[in-house]
Amino acid sequence: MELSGLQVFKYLPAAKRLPEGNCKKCGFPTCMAFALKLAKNQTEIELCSYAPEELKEIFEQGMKKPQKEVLLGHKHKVLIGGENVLFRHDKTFVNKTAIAVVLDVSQVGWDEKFKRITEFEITRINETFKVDLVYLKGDVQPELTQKLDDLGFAYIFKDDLKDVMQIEDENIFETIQTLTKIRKKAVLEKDENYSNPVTVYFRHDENTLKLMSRAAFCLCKYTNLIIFEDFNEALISTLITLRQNIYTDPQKPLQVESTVYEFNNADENSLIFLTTNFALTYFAVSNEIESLNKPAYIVVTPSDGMSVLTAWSAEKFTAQIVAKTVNQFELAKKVKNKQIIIPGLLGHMQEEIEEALPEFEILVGPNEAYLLGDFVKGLTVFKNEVAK
Amino acid sequence: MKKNLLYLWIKLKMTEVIKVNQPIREINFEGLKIGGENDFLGSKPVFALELNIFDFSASSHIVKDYFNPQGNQLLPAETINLISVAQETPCDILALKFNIPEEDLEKNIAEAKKLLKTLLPHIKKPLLIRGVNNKSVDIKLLPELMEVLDREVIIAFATENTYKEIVPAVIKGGHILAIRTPIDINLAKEMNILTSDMGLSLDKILIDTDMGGLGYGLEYGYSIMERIKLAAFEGDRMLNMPLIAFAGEEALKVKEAKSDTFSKSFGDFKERSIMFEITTASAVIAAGANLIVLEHPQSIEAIRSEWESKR
Ligand code: B12
Ligand code: SF4
Repeated sequence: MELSGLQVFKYLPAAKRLPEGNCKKCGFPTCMAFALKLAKNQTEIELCSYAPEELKEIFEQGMKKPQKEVLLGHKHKVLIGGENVLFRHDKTFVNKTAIAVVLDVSQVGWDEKFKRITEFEITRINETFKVDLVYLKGDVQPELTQKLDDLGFAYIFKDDLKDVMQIEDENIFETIQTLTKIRKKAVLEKDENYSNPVTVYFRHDENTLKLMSRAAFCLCKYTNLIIFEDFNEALISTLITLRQNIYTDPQKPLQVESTVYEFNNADENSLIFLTTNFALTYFAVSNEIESLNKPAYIVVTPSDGMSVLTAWSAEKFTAQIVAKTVNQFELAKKVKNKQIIIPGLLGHMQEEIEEALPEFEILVGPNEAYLLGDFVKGLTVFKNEVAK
Repeated sequence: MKKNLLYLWIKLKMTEVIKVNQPIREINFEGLKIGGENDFLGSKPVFALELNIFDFSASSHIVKDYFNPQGNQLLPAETINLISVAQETPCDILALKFNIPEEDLEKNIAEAKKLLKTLLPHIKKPLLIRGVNNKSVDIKLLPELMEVLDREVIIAFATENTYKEIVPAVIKGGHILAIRTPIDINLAKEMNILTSDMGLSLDKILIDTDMGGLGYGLEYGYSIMERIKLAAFEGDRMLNMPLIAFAGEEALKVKEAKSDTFSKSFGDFKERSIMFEITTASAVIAAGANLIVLEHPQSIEAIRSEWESKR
């Protein structure tokens, strides 16, 4: 609801100086008090029998949900729909586009496909993803559904999609036009004929690259459920990556706490790495550190959830902030090896940081986190240890 | 009367009606139409294929596989060959990135100039020329390269820090200029005003919002593109230039597209790398990008055949 209390008040009897004004029948002392509560959705318009039709209409319209939510699945369920906006920056998208793969038991090799679908699992920025739904076709035996239940997978049959608007993609251009029209009708007009979530069905396509492009368009522009006949790991993992981007809440960048994180039984011989508290940045780095299998600390600066260079530009990653963070956690006491590795992109800060942290030597790491493995192998501390 | 107006205003606010009425400027460039749409996905995206022409070895593994499967050291004479292969692919524009190192700047600029001169007669497709996105290089390199040009090209790109040096040469040569701002709608607008004050025609500007690659900040660029488009459709004449997106470069520098140390669920490395480029590109097209610069010919082919089938 976008009406302010004052705007609501203007419709009520007291504002129009009508005799019923401030009659208290609604249970509030004045029309204004009622208006203020109403604007916050803390009371109901029906309580005032003098409210004009016009205002009632506005409220009815406002109460309507643009898009319905639908729960799919049997034992395990996936929620789709419920979107309120056309653009993610307007607010945020809510329920991630679900990704379903068809498993047709009448086809040869379905058991192999079953294995691949159920084994699929990726982790990005600390979130783990699997295929959301298995779309079962053919003469499905209870053993199969039982197995899916046990493995924690949601599944659907054709009939489960009755509350979902279905589009079969023939031409991506037309598909997107239809999807856009549906979402506009739902969000801008709250037209109930278009309020069901929408699914796009992709038939088998030899050309996985084209399929990738079509699916990416559909994910950005208004599909609540994407169903693939094909199963391709690269395609699904790439699409999930896109989904993670598009469905991030634009109002709050994912952050981690600014503190010192320990890895692989960090001890006094640990390597020390420095980065910002942007979740994307932190996990890019921590994933690498974890797989180094070497004791390590990551010092995370309080940088308002900004990437390395963004934080630097916004002066949220200064030598002072770095020094403060390192000192606050008394790192100098914890380690013998007094070297701190900073992101390669901030190599120009080496001297500044050394000045601010005289106890430490500052090493400039690589520009990309995934090159950390090779970088660490080249470090003398590491070499010494191997020699031991 | 007053009451009606208020009612209308409230209704407007409530339903967030989007007045999609003003079209994006249409740039006519060597027979290509860039922009001109009055709704998202309303005009055909234009594709440029970008080559690291000065130092091809800096290219992504999938690009090397395509153009130089043997992995030979390319001799300067062979760059002509590279260009002819590139021109056979279904790109609209050939983009040449003069990725010269910062050391020995004078010498390298002279070499880049010589290279461009040699290549020009062999270039049949519309051309985009690109610097290295380093202030001290671009302010010298780009104006020098423009001296050699014998046709209208797209120059990429000027920034807040380089436009003063670059814009005069662009105006003199009658070129089109991509202007990059760091994911900031106000700065984008400001730069369009500043450069047009210097005499650059508003019909010769491409907005480069800058962007991150898929999985690494893509959503920020994505949303700025959408916001710029919405402002343009609503009539902002300082933001209604077509959008250019260097989607290939950003996509191919992320870990998933560069490293094959991922688990098998991430899929085949080569396929995934191309898919990262395709997906980044498709997303920015959905967000309103008009000219998309990519590095792998198959990416362009995969996306564009979809649009071709319609119009
Ligand atoms: C998305 C983005 C934004 C988003 C913010 C995203 C965020 N939460 O941080 C928004 C739109 C808000 C933004 C704002 C700004 N931005 Co910005 N932004 C970007 C963009 C496109 C991507 C950044 C990103 O998310 N990268 C992904 C993360 C994971 O990368 P990363 O943190 O660097 O981490 C990697 C490496 O550094 C390394 N690493 C990280 N930590 C460590 C640690 C060690 C020890 C090692 C070895 C390695 C390592 O591993 C990671 C993965 O490889 C970049 C350009 C680009 N394409 O990269 C510009 C960019 C960072 N922004 C820039 C600028 C200038 C700004 C603004 C100042 C613009 C302005 N005038 O308003 C503002 C500043 C913010 C403010 N005042 O509020 C510039 C910085 C220029 C510079 N310093 O050289 C860039 C480079 C764009 C450019 N070319 O001009 N930005
Ligand atoms: S019932 Fe209606 S008119 Fe009476 S006080 Fe409440 S809001 Fe005002």
